[in-house]
Amino acid sequence: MSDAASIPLWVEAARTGDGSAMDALYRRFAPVVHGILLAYVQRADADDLTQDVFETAIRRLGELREAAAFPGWIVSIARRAALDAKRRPAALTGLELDRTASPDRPDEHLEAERSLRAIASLPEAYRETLLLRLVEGLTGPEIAERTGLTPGSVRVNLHRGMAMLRTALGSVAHARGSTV
Amino acid sequence: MNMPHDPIRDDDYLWDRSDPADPEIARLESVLAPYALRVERSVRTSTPLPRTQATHARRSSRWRIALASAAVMAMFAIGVGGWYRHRLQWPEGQPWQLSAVNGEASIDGRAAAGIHSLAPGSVLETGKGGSANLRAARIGQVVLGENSRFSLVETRSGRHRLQLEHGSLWARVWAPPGALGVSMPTADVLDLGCEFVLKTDAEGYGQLTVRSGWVQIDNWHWEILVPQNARVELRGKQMPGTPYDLGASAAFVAALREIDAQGHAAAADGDAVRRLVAAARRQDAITLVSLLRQYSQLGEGPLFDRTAQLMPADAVVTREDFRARGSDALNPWWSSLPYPRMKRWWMQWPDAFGTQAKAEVLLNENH
Repeated sequence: MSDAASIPLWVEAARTGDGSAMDALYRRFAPVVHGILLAYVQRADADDLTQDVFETAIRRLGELREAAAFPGWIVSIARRAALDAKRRPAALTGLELDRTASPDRPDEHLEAERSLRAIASLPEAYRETLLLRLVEGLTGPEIAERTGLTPGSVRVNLHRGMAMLRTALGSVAHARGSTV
Repeated sequence: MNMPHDPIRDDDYLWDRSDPADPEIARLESVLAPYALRVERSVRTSTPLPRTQATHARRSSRWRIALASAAVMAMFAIGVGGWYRHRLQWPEGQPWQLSAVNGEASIDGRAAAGIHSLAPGSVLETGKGGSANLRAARIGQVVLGENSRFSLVETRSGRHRLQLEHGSLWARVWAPPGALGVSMPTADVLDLGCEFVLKTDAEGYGQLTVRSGWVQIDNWHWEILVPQNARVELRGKQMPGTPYDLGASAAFVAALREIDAQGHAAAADGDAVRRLVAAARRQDAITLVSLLRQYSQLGEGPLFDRTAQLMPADAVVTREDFRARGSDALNPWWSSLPYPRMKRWWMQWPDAFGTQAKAEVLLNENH
């Protein structure tokens, strides 16, 4: 049975209290939730909010009418959680930067931050899809399966988003080069 | 990062990682991988891992999380979400279950053998070699060690308050921060999602050792945050000592005691400070940062320089900023300390499951 076909079965089993089904859903969708959250909040807050989103999903699983709609449903919970967090006056952690996320090499850290800023400047649909692909490491077909989007939409988002990202990074590099 | 690219080739790799790899996208994947969900510091490397190795590390990390989650999720048998809500709820004033009693123990002066609960207001006492194991409502477990005097002051959903007049106590709690608090002769201990061991005499001398998460210890005049694998020494009516890592050397701890005894009179370049700095390891950063927060005059000496050496390169604190802004300037260092965030009690799933054997070992430690 394909993974996509397994999702509704896991949801139905989880509704009856099947622990292994809940675990499977968590392992499958936690990276998606985290990637969506990263499109709106800093990494430290995304880590915390990922737990909050699953807590909410667990409590409200009985309200989900169609088990097959779980991917889009949990993505919408993640977006709402992220937007709620953004509306708060201060970051959840009270930190401007999440230093635990920095790679060991400062140059890579700077490059990563520059790339994340460029991704953050893209339109929402491109931003989310690129974060799932480049940060969470999901492929296009996996993103489609786990967000409820069609493969065609994901492919378009990836292609256009990456083109815009190349331009944004090129602009940054060009601007930096011209000031040296 | 800007390299010539073929859009069609890029799209294939971008879509499903089909060969050939697009070097620009591969570079982005490499530098952004540390920002993915729960890539632990221990599996992070300064150079990109080969794909198979990186995949293995990520799966390994996720598998550890999965094992913890599977254990918790298995308890959802009474209904999705029901277990979670059920666990945090507790009728006001409902007695706690006394699940085991060993050796000499009494409740309100009567032998505890055969008694299966402890009501608010009752006093539970253990004698030499005695111990008592309580279920902390539904949020965890408390084990009382020998020669202890203990009572349950208040218990209801979200708020459980205990009193330890003297003796020792081990607690493991899985609940939002602040759910469990222990009052002692001269201070209060507040659980922030964790496991800890508390030892005190009737005058308030003893120690608090944190095994998991964070604990706050405070009274009306001060408060101290103690992270996992750290200890503070309780000093009666004085402020407790500065937290130190459980692996700190004897020389480090001895120098720290001297500095704590000198308090605000400790000299920035004094002998005790120099000995402490010489013995400081990376894991002792919690002590160094805590000392700077507590005794700002130490910022003028080698303690500040050693702290700067031990901290990550991207956590920058200057002496000038510290002079100008005081302990607020230390936030980048404090935020870089390698401990779990307090908000993440939900992730401390193993704390939901206690083992009494471990508790007894910890309670019987002599140091």
